[in-house]
Amino acid sequence: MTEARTGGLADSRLDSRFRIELPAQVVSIAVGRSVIRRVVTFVDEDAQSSFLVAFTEVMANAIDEHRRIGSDDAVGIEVCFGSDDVVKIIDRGEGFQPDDIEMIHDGVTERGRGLALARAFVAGLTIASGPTGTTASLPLAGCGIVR
Amino acid sequence: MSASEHRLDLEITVSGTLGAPIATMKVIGEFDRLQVVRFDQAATSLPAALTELTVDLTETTIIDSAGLGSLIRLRHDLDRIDARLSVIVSKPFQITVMRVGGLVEFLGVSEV
Repeated sequence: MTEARTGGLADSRLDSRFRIELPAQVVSIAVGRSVIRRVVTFVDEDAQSSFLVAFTEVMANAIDEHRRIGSDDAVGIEVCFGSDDVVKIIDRGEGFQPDDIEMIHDGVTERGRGLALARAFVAGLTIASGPTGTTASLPLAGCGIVR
Repeated sequence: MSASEHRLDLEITVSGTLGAPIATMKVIGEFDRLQVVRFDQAATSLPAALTELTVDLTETTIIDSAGLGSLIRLRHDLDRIDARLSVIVSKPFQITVMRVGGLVEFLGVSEV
């Protein structure tokens, strides 16, 4: 389920990562948050809440995508640490264009705010999406570090 | 880190008069997709003659878009009975959630 790879002695950055695979179920969002709380030291409680809200939204999108296409595949959470600390969420959906997501601000509709919230809390959030899946990268810079 | 930060607790108080009850609903912990069902169920238990409801989010540790959706539904339900909704927040991330969600005015959000 997990794998850890460390750089050799010649790699001065000693970049490392570990990855877990979680079922595409809503409870996996809470499990993912617990993992992040365990391995990340946040600047303060507000930074923790902010990052975890972003994580929650992105993870929810990944789970929704798997459900939408009827996939039994797991959703991956990868924590990369070393020169840059980043949390990645990897789904195996059919991809989307992040810029095509309509931002809802009219106070009436109940949906459509997830990606806007994620971007508001993690300014460096990037999304790479294609026909075989989407990887969202949430840098921890400014929020915390992997301990 | 306390265990309460990883679940949702709800405290509901009702005051006012029988003819004009006022309620406060305090949400503690993670107000997210996993927990909104409990919030929605609690909201349905409020008096039908309610005139005013305050939702206190100051002790939430997570508010996601599902939580916002629940608050929007609540606002619509209260509109049907002519009851007023106000939401109070205190932490920077809570304020940001409301602002980015475009819901400060719609939900009657104020900062304490």
